[in-house]
Amino acid sequence: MKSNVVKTSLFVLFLITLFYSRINAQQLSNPVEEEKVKLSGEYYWEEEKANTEEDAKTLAKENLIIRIINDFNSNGNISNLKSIKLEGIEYLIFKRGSIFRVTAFIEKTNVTKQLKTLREMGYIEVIPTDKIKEEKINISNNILQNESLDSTVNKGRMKPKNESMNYRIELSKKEENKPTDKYKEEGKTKTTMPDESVNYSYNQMVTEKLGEIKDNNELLALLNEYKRNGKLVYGKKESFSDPEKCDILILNPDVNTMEAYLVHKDKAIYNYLTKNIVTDFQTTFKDMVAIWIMYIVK
Amino acid sequence: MDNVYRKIILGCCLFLLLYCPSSYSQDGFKTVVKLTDLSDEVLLNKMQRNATELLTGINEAFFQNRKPEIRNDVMTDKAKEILNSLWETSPLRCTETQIIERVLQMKREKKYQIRNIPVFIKDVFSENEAKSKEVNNTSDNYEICLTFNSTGKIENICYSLQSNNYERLKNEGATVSEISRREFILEFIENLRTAYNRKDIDFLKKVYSNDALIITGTIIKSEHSDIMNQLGKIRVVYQTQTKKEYIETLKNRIFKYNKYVNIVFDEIKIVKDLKYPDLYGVNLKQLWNTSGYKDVGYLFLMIDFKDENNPTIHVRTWQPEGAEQTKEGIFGLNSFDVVR
Repeated sequence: MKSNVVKTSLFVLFLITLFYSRINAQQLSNPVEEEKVKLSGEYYWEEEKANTEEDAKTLAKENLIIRIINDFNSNGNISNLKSIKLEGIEYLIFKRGSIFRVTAFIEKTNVTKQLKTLREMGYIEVIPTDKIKEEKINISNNILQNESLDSTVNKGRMKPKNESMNYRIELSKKEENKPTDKYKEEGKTKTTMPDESVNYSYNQMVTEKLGEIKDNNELLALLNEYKRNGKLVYGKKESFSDPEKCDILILNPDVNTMEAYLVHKDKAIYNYLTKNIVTDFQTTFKDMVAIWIMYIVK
Repeated sequence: MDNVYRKIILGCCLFLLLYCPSSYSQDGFKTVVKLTDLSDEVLLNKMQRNATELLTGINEAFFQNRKPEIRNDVMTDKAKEILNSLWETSPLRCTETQIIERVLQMKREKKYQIRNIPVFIKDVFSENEAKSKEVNNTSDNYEICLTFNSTGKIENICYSLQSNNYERLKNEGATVSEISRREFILEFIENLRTAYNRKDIDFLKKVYSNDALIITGTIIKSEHSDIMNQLGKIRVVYQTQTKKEYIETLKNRIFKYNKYVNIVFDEIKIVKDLKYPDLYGVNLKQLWNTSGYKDVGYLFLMIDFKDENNPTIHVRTWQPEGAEQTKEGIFGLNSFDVVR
C-alpha cells in the first residue's frame, strides 16, 4: 500500500517535472546571453519577430546588415558599401506564444576585420567627406550583394569593381515636359521651368528633397541614403555612359553649400534652384564640384 | 526500496524548488527593464527603474485582479490617467520577465521612447479564441511603447505598431526634418489607436476637424456574388457622416455597448501632399475587434500637421476588404481636392 502511494507520488512528480521542462523549453536561448549581447557594447545586434523562426531570422539578419552598413557609411565617410554578406552572424531565439523573437548579432571586432579585408582588396573605397573637393566619388557597384566573402574569394569570382558592374538598373523614361496651356498663354520663352505639377514623378519628388538641402554634408548623407536604398547612383561624369540622362549637383566647397541643381530638359539644362536655363555650366560653375546623379526606376 | 523512492522524490522536489517557474513566486510579477543606447547614465537608470516599476506594478495588479497602484514619481498624472482608462476596458500584463531594449530619442522634442514591450490583454485574448485567424494572429503580438519626458518620468503609454513597421516607415523619410515628421505621425497614429482602445472620446473629438469628411463603404452583396466577384464587379456603396454623427455613434453605440474596443493597424503607408507639405495621407489596414463585432478594412486618414501640436484629421474613409477591386480603388490623397 505504502509502496503504491510512493509510486503514484513519484509518477505525479515526474509529470510535473516533465511539464515544467516543456514550458522552459520555449525559452530557446539563454536570457543571460541576451543581456551580454545587447548591453556589453561589443556586438552589433538587431531583433525581429515573426510567425516562423526562419522568417524572424531572415528579418533580423536583414536589419542587422542595414545597421552595420548605416553605421559604416554614416561614420563621416562616403563609401560604395551597399550590401554585404558577413560571416559569423549568430542568433538568439525566443518564443512567445506563437511568435518567434530572434536577435541576430555579430561581434563588432569581427565586422571590422571583415570590412578591413574588403577595403584592402579594393572592394570598398572610402572617401572622407572633407576630400569631396577632389571629386573622387565612386559609383556604387554591387559585387558584394549576393556572395559571401569567403566563398567568393575562394572561387575567385570577385572582380575589381569596375569590371563587374552587374547592377541591374532600368533608366527613367523621362516624359517630354511640354509647356502647359498656362505656359503657352503667358507667352513665356523657355527661360523658366515648365509647370510640372501635372506629371509629378517619383524622380521629381527626390529632386525636390535634394533641392531643399543647402548644407553639403547633409546632402551627401541623403545621397548616400538614396544610394543605399537603390533609388539612385551618383559619381563622376565619366562613370556614366549617358551623362545627359543625369542631373548634376554643383557644390561650392568654399561655403559648403549647393550652388545649383542642374536638370536636363528639352535639350537644355535648367537650374532647379533658380528655375533658369544655364547655357554653359562648366564655365558658370568653374572651380566647383560637380556630382552626376542617375535615378533608378523601381 | 522505499529509501530509493524517497531519494528520487527528494531529488525531484529539489529540482522543482531550484528551478521553480518564477511566475509562481511573488517575484514572478517582476519585469526587469534594462536599457541601452543612451549616454546619460543617470537618466538611463531612472528610466530603467520607472519602466521596471510600472510593468511590475501592472503585472501585480493583473494577477491580484485590482487596479494598478503606481507611485507618482514613476509617471505623470496624464500617463496615470491613460493607464487607468486602458485598464478599465482591458487589463494587461507584460509577458516577459526581462526586457532589454534600445532607448529611442525623439527627434522633435527631448523625449525618449522604449518600444517592443510585449503584453497580454486579458479580455481580448480570452474572447478571441473563436474569432478569425487574421485577428488571432495578431493577438500574440500586442506591444506597448512607453514615452518618457526629459526627466525620465513616463508620460505616455500606447499600443505600438510592430517594430519593423515603425522603423521602416520612419526611415522612409529622406531628410532629418522628414524623419522627425514621420516619427511624429507614427506617434499620432499610435495615440489614435490607443484612444479607441481607451474609449477616449475627448481625444477623438479633438483630432477630427469640425467639418471632417467621414466616409464608410459597404459591399453590396449580389445573389450571384461569385460571378460578380469573378467579373470584378463588386459594388461598394459609400455613406458620408459628419463629425458630430460619427462621434455620437462611437460614444452612444460602439463605446457604450462594447466591453472593449481593440483596433490594430497594419500595412501602413504615409504619403506627403506635394502641394501642401503639412498635409499627409495615411493608408492603413484596420483590424477592428470589439466584444460584439469584428472586421478588417482599409482606412484612409488625411491628417493636417499645420499646427504641429494639434494635428487634425480632415478626412477619414473606411472601405471593406474587396474595395480594392472596384473602380474607385482604395482612397488616397489623390481622391480628394484640397483647397486651403
